[in-house]
Amino acid sequence: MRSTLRQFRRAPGRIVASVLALALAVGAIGVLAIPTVSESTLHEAVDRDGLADIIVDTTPLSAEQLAEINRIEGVAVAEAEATEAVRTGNGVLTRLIGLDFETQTMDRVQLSAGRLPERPDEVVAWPSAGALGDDLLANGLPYEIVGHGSTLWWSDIDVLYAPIDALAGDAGTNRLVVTAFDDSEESLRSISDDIRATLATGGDTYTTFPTYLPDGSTPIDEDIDQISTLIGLLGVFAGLVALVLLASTTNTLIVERTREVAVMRALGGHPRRLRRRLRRIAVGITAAALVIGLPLGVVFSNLIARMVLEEFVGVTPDFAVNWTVIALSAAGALSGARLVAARAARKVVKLPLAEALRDREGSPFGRTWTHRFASRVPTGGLFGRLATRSSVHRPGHTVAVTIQIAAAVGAAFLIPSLASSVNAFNSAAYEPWSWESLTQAREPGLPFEASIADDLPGAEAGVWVDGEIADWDVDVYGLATDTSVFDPMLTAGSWLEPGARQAVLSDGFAGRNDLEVGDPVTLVLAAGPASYEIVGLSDDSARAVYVDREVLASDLGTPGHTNAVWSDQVAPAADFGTAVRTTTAVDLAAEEEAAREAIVLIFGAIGVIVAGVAALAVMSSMTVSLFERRHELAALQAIGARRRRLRGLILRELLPVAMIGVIGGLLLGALGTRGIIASFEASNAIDIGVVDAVGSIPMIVGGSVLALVALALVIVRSATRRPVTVTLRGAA
Amino acid sequence: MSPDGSHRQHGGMNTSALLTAAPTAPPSSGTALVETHDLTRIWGKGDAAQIGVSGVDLRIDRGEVVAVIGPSGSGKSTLGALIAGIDRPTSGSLVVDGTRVDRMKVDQLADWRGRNVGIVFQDFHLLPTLTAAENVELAIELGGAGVGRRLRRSAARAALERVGLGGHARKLPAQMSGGEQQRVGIARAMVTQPPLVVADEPTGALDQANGHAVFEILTGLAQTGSTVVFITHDLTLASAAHRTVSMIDGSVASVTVGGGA
Repeated sequence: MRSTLRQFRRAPGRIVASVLALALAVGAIGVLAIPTVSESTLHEAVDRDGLADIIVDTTPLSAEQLAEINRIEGVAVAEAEATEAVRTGNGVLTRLIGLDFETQTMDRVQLSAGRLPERPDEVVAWPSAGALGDDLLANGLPYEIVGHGSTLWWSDIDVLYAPIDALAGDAGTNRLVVTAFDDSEESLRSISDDIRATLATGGDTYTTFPTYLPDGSTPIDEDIDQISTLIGLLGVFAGLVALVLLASTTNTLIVERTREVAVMRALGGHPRRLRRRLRRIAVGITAAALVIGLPLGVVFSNLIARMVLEEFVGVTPDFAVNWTVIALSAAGALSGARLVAARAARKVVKLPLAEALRDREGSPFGRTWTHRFASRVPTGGLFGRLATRSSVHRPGHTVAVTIQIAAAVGAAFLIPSLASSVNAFNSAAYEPWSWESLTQAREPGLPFEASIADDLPGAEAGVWVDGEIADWDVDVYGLATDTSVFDPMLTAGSWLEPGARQAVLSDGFAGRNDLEVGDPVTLVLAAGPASYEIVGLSDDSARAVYVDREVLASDLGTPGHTNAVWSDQVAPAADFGTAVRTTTAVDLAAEEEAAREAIVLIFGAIGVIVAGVAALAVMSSMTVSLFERRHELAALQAIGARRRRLRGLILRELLPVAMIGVIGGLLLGALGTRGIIASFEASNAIDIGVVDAVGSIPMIVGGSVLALVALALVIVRSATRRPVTVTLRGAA
Repeated sequence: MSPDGSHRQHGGMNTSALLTAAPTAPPSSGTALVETHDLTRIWGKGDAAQIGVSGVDLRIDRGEVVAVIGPSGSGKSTLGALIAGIDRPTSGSLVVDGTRVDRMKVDQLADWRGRNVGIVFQDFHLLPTLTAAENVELAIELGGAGVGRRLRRSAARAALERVGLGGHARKLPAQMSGGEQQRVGIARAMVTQPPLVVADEPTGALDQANGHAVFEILTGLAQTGSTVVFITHDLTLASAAHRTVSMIDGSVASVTVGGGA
């Protein structure tokens, strides 16, 4: 510790810079803690809200049916809820959730303000819906906002919570939530089958696939897993850059003591003791960096976890600390610093003593064939030659700076490329569709007659339900075979024939499941499994199956019925005879825009950290270069070089390195994007596709050039701050 | 400036010729090139203040060879650095050839040094990645605006010839001995024919033979009109100067008129 303090007194600027650089490096590793921070928040929310093990939409249930379900073996508690799609007075599409606030054990609303509703015309709303006491219209009916709050299940969208009587009186309860004594997936599926059978005896059915949440999982685990995978990959990238920074800073701390060590060796210092001393200095400085870096990492991970959870899940996480990542970061940084220091110290102590004592500018130039070759190549003017040969003189440094620039540029290109790929994928999901509004039944069954849209101009009825193929959740669409709302964009095969048990599958999904045109496919629906022959593949960037709507309605047990109407009008004029929700293209565009903003925000935050660490690494390396060459620059000044010439020299050195770094970085970013997207495609069995953020390249190149010019300015300013003679005397 | 060195002595180094050619009498012009008044350089403040030079009044005439001597820490190198413009005084004035050097800004000072001063360092301070010829050329590029590459190259060669290193032009500093590097340093200092040459212990890192050779080249510069200020511990070398300035504790203790360089 004393030696570290002594080092600090000797060169406070450099030590502070090193400590900050290392701190940021350690802080960047904190990104790896984000998934754990997110998960801990979610699991706390599961316990707090009382999330069910089985959640399923049903046809309207009676109290008797609910009682019967509660008697099924393995069911701990089954409760009924009601949901209804509503549009608020200011046009926001939302849902009204009916809950039994007095007795319910599941989906307990967590209030941030106010109280729970007591009357049918009172609701709990999201904060921006209105202040407590305000009135709010939902489907034209007035409600008073008495509380602000949410539940985990509905946390990703803004919904209203009202007493169940407010809805159940209208069309009955239509949602079942169940907790089981044994929450393993096998047990939950078995209970679900029993419930299905029980409902069937009363002529009722599941209208969607049940959601199973085994072993305390949450409905957004899959989303979190995907986001975590992405963050983890970026975290690894940030960690690697941080390691380079850690290594280069530690290496510098040791190498700049070459002469001091040589003097000690000359005075009889034992190499082993000197090595130990050097290692202690590096470890001491790294320990100081940890004091700043670890809290910084905790802050980074919590900030990004908060952004992710708030934007994608709608949950505000509590502040959490991942002690494992902290401990591993600290241990990694200390042992990494020690390892690098040990290697650098061995090198410094092994240098021939006479050379180490004499040499003030690093290893002499001209001793190797590359040096001699470089000195024979008359590249440009004298300053051009100086620049080229300096790069050749310090190949390790040149390579390190090139890699660091490549890492920074790679991160700067990878982040917008990922964002634009994801955004393009989101947009592509709607590409085959052409409609202005989609009206769906509030309850998940097929309550519309198939002919409901026959007389509506520009409208078409169909079926849209969930299904499963080879354990993958898929969207199942039942469409008229002469549909005008969907263009299958076939990549193989043909479109559906009327009345045939045929299916068209998403091309990417089919390919990833080894399914081809002509193959049979088993589609598991809420009503049970159904088989089709694959006749075509669609280039739709989705995980979907398209079937003739008549065939699908029959397979769902309600022939001649549908549950969705697509229309080229904003709102089709029809009497649907039941509660509906209408989604317009404007709603989708707004959702898409919100998702895009969230993606840009989150990816941007991570990108700034990664690029920041890499940029700091470049600065650190350049500081080393400046330190090693301060006498050379002072000598140039002594013989008449203005600062402009010195800046020119530094820029000449940096520009070729930067050019290679930028090109390498762009390639790295492009490859990284492809790697990450490929992993997403594999884990989701869909085609996402890569859209390189080509538009960002001029900005990245311009930003790199500006950063380098700024760096050259800072370096020269720093190098010329002291009188020339003081710097030169320091060389002696 | 004549970068091609046409009116200088040419050919390989001939130390005896230079020795005999060295000035044996004080310069005839008698006009001041360097004038300092109350020149003071102090580092730090308060109790930590360290005095480099204090209240130095000095006049050095054109063509004069002046030796600055004194024990270690007496301020002789500081005085040399101030006169050469590579350090700035804390107070007092420094006028060189009628110009107030102490008032110049960093870049003005760099320009001024490039055109007016040749500096020879004890540690040579050659650029390690440039050959001997390129090191000399660099001084022309920085000090002589608009000199063509060919002219610059031939001037550098000529300067190296003058210090006896005509055959070493393409060698890198690391491939030369200390004496050879110092001679490259001298060639670099004199190639622009600066009116003022400041040498800080130019022979300090050299053996006796090399030291004498270097010294002879330096004093020979006075013959071409340059004023030479050299800092040395060696009283024998100092006695060859026109005048010897003796420093103690940052102040000028005495100025002795010598027997000529």
